[in-house]
Amino acid sequence: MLSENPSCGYATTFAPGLTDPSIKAPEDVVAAPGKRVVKRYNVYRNNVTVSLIDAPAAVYPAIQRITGFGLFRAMARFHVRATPPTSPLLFEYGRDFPAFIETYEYAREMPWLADTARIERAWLDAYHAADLPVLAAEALAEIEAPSFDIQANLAGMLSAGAFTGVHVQHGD
Amino acid sequence: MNDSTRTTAVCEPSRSHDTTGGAQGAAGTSFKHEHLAAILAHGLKHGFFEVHAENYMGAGGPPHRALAAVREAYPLSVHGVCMSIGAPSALDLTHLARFRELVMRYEPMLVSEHLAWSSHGGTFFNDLLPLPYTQETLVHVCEHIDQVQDAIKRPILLENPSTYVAFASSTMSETEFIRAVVQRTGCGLLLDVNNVFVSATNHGFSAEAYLDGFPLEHVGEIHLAGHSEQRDDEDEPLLIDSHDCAISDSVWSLYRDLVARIGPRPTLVEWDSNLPAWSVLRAQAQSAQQIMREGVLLAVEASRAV
Repeated sequence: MLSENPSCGYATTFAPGLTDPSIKAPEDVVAAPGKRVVKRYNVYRNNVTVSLIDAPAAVYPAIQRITGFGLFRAMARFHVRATPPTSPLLFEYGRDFPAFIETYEYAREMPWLADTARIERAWLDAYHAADLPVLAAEALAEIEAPSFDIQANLAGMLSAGAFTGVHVQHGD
Repeated sequence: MNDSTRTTAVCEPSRSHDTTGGAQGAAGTSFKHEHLAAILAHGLKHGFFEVHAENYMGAGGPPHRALAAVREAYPLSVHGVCMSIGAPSALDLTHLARFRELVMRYEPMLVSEHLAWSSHGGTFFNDLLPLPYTQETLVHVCEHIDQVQDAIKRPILLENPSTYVAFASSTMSETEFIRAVVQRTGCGLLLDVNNVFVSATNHGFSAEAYLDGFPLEHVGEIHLAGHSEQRDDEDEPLLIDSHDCAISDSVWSLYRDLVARIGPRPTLVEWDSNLPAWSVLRAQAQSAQQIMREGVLLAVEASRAV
């Protein structure tokens, strides 16, 4: 049984300013005598912000190429502050980013952008998916056409139709 | 909390002077997929590779194929960066289960984590954040390490952090805290020499004095890395543990003195961004191997002179 933590409020006071630049470093945070902690605390703030914006950039590289670096970072920063990650697995982060793109004011002139992001998401999910045995041609021949059931990720990508072309053009 | 039935985190340091380069004299690098083909073509004798555990927690695909290829040829070190051992909140049991599964799957030579926290209040911050060193935080850190070690059924190596701030509420030094953690949990230590240099510069203490107070007898792995420099509020150097450049001369010097003192230990060159060619990274690891060989030869000569 883990003990209670009556005097472990350090994380509660340290955390809020990491994603909100208007919040100062907590009082308990210090440096050597005569030293201030503004830039020191900013190192953590910067590490957190940059790395969390890098996460959607890694998941959605084609979106970043399409929108350009500046617009993407602005969009991702907004998203990170509104919906920070809850899991340490950053390749799982940003599943709601396509829906966010649909609502983002400066992306409205690209109505196909969100679906392109959904394709990128599906690509990454397929990249990390469990390996399955390779389907042999003989096995395909045994399947009756009406019951042919394509794997979900692949189906999702194909159903995006024309957007696949956008992804192919801008993907790696 | 200390479970005397546990095996040690790594094999015991060789009592004899091993000049052939066993596990203690091995040097390795961070493993990056960009280097896979070069590593397989031009590898690293007496080498090993270290990966961030979280990058291999997907179910399958190219990441696991790459890691399996490296594991077939080299010993591995699994380095967790997101367990949040230093957080006041409970460990994420789902994450702990994934960590356990990875360790079981790849049977690494070394398993390590950080004295830091990265998650709190349901948010993951993706950084190694600092904690005050008090009796209360000591209890929590030890409970978390016990929990991890119980899950993976082996001791971990705990890494000393690089820090940019301290806490007024701390009641003990970092080395006192780490020594107490080792005594209570039976974990080993991953001594990051670059972190020592970075923190010493940032807080104005002596890196040598820090190492004097560090429980060196429990060091099972050493980390070396490059750092970058910013300026603090007083326009004095503030070093950043950036892992994006070559190891500095100051860190090499500390490492040389450390090896002369404790003998060779598995040594890992961390380089995580602004990646160089494999040949550059390999050369850094080979420099560490050379320093370990020189240290052993000096020790042999010293023992013969007695």
